[in-house]
Amino acid sequence: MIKAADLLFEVPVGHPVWPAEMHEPLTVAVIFPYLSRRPWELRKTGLLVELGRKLCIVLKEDPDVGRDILLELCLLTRQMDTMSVRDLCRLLRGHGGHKVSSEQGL
Amino acid sequence: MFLFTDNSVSESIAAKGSSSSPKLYQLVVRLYRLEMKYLYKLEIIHVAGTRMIEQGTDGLSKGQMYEGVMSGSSMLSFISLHLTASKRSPQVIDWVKSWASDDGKRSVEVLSPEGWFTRGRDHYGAGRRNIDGYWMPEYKAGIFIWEPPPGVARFAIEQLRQARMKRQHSTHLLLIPRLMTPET
Repeated sequence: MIKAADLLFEVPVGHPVWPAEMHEPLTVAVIFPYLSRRPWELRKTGLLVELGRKLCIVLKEDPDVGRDILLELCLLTRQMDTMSVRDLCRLLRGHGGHKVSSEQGL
Repeated sequence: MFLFTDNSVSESIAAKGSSSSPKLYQLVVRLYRLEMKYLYKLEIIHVAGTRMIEQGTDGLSKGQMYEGVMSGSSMLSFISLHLTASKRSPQVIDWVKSWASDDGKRSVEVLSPEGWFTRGRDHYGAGRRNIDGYWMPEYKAGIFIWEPPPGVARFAIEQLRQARMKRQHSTHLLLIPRLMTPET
């Protein structure tokens, strides 16, 4: 699954929706639609790689912030096809000025 | 034969069938030879240490005879390979919908096992017959939650990969409790 997923993260035990009696974490894989232009898919882009890494930490420390980041990421992916190439490249490199790429130090 | 352990290396090397450590490699070879000799299949599954404590095995070595299965609880109640994420924690679906639905503007569908083969591939409605009289499916992209139990996750993932290649405008969210990870 790791090969196919654009974003892979774990919801830790102790999270409000995944309590401690679950024992093992919950693995979440997100597969977004393909883009209509290069790089075609979001997997392995700087934005998603870094986001996956940081989400694991954020979900442990502040679940609400983790949810907000995921929400903004989903909203952003809907807009990507209408963005200019320059803005899209900046965003996917992790310099888009959006919450998912900047506010959390991502 | 199912072997539950809190040692994730054991699970990993048994699934891979190899290890860079000569000693571990020899152990794997011995396990495989035993499987061939006695015609059985050994499934090593990593579980959390806290689960082993709750189940009672951990306490036995400390002389605690009244925990988990030793106190009369069913062994199967500690094995959740057949349970989906939402069966174990129902609120997880609402949480996923809260961020995947663009603040409620889009609908998020939870797929049943039947849906892995139909709606998960964007099939929508009853379909229609083409000019040659053959039935053809109709398609509609969506946001889908796949939540297979860990025991059958690899079959769901196979369908998800096919769906992803065939229909490329849908968003897929896969939720699996972290059990039987080498299969996923």
